[in-house]
Amino acid sequence: MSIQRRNNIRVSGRTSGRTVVLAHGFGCDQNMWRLVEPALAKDHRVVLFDYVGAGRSDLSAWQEERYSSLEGYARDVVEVCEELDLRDAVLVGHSVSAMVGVLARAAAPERIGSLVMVCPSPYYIDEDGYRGGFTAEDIDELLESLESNYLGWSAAMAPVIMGNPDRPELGEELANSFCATDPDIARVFARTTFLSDSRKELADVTAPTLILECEQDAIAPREVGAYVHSAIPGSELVTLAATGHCPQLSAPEATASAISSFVADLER
Amino acid sequence: MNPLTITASHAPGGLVLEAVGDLDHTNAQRLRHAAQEAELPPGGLLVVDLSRLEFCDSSGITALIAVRNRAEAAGGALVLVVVSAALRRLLNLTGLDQVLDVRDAVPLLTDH
Amino acid sequence: MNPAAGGSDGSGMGLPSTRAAFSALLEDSAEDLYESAPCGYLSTLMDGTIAKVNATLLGWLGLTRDEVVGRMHFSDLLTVGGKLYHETHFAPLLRMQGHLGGIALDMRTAQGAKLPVLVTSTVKTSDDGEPLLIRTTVFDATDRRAYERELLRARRVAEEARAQAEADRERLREALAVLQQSLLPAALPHIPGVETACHYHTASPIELGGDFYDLFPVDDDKRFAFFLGDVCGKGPQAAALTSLTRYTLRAAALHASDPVANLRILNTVLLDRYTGDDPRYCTAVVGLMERSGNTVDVHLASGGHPPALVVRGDGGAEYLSTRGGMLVGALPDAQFVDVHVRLRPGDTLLLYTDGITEARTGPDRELYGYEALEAFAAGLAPAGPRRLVDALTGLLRGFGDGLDDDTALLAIGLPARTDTESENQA
Repeated sequence: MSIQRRNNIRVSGRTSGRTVVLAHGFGCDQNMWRLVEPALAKDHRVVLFDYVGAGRSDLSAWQEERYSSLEGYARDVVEVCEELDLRDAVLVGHSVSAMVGVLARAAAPERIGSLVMVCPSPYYIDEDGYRGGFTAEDIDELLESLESNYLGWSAAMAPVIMGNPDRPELGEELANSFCATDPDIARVFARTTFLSDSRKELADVTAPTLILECEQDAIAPREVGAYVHSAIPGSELVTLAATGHCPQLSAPEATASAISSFVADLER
Repeated sequence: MNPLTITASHAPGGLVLEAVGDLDHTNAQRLRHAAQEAELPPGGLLVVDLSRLEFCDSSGITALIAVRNRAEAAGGALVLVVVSAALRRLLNLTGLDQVLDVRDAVPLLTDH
Repeated sequence: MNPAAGGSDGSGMGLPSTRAAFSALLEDSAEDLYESAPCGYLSTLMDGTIAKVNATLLGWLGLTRDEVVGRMHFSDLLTVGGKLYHETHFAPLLRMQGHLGGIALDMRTAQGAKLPVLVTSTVKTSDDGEPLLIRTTVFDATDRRAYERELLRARRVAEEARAQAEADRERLREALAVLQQSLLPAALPHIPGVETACHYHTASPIELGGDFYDLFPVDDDKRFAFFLGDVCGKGPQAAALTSLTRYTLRAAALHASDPVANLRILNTVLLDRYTGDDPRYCTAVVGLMERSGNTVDVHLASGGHPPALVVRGDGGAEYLSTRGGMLVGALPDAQFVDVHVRLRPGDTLLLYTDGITEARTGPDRELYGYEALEAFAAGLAPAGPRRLVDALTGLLRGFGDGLDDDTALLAIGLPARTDTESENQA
């Protein structure tokens, strides 16, 4: 299976523009970018993909071992960049993908030239003077929530998630379920997302970096945004007038224009 | 596959067990039990009538040997009634026709 | 139907007194319906700030309106895990779809207790499609969550049990395969100037078969012993009997060079092992072969087994009668019958079990039988062991489901003279 199909890669926008890769976070898939994609596509070449295990990726390619560390997801990003032979692309990573982006950039600096971190958090757990916002028990509670909402997943949702070209009537249901994932895969992604500690990697980021945070974010509070900003030398921090953890949905125009102006600055 | 039916009928000089159908590993045990439960008078004759038996496999043969051992241990004797050529060939092939009393009709049982 | 309930005949509703009573039972206002509904209601701004909440939900949570309205966000009402789920799944889906139903979340009451709820939300939009606010209903799902948890637990137990059963089945399959292999030689030994071939057809992969064969040197590669047979019954008990039979015959062959004596030893051993009420037996052909010049002298003995077949190098096939030999292990005074045969170049000796002769063929499912086997072999003559066994393997395959028993084949032959000469030149 090609990387193209494995990661369900979609490319749109201006072919002559700089390439902007949009990496979704934990919970959903590339649909998360639906509201910002048109604005970005006006000037840029936009690359969308699903991590293996999410959205309409090839679930059979999923391996627990690989996707139990952020490095596994970073390999997906690098392989997507290689597949398209990208150079000097801008990687926009939402939530956990912001940290995945840091790892992917370190692995392939020639392909990924700069980073946009949307609502990043290098570590979610409170610990010795660091405030990530959560305790380990909170993460267990999340896993419980995942579980109670996946009751019956395998029976009812599997055919929808797999995508079934022979049955187009399933398309509508698909729109209602882009945040649904195989519960086993979701559990692994949740653990990896919320238990990984990427604080040490931040100091080594040399790429031009834009950090986008929301005024109110229950998952990545502002002090975490400030922490990331101070840890990455020369980074730029923009606070969006938005609430929640997904500004690309709650404030798509502001998010797109912040990304666009960052890319425009790179061109200068 | 034909079901096995076993019918017992008592006579003064012994007992007749008629087995009809297929005698194989799924039901051979029933023939043994039927022979065990039957009260054979001392010196009596146990007749196992296989003239309407349609099939017999190695488990059936085993059951016949067990029934014979039992009858002899009780001081009695076993008579097999065999009509089918296939069963006669099997008894001949296994040499059992030399040690078993094989006849082509049920003998008259009388008190002796 | 109780007539006092009224209404069923269509006339009761028309009576003024009934109408008045009915009206009194109805909610006196929409406001009261909202506040005291049996479910929680709340409305939030698009950023989640709670703008309106009903008394039912406030009561469940142990909060006052002043603490909540304008001060708290919807996600503040949730446990931390629920908050994470809300932010990563619920909120994005609601934004994208405008509606989301039946999502399980946990709320946290003022007393710190967890309240499992089912949440349904709808985004209210302006006439031009601009999202204005989010309306949410909240159902107490304490009982439902308890049985969902029970369902999940049951499913997990069932999945574990299934995984365990599969692992057990796999282990059993492996054990059976190992056991089955121990009943047959891994490969036949090379005998200079003699060709051999064998085949074992397994009727069922999960049922251990009761056929066996072996071929091995007894002294200095000059003399070889072999046997082939069939134990009564199927399954593990048959396999145990096969194992005992095989190793007894192997040991006996090393001590006595008389096949009849070997069968007597086996008879004694089996009689000793299996008593009167549980007789078990096998049928077997045991042989000893010795090369002399261009021929091989074979001494065979049979205990109740179908006769061996010789396929002649100059055409034709014939059974070697061992009539009178008795099955082994069930009779104290069993007689065994022996026969001598000399194999010349091009001759092949075939031992087989009755799976082949007892196979059912044709529309009437007739027994394949001895005559057909003899004719089949004669039609192939002259045929070396390999060719004969290959042809018989094809024949067995052709029986399809007419062959429901294990079948073993062992063929021993001398290559035709021309073959020997070319072999010598090589």
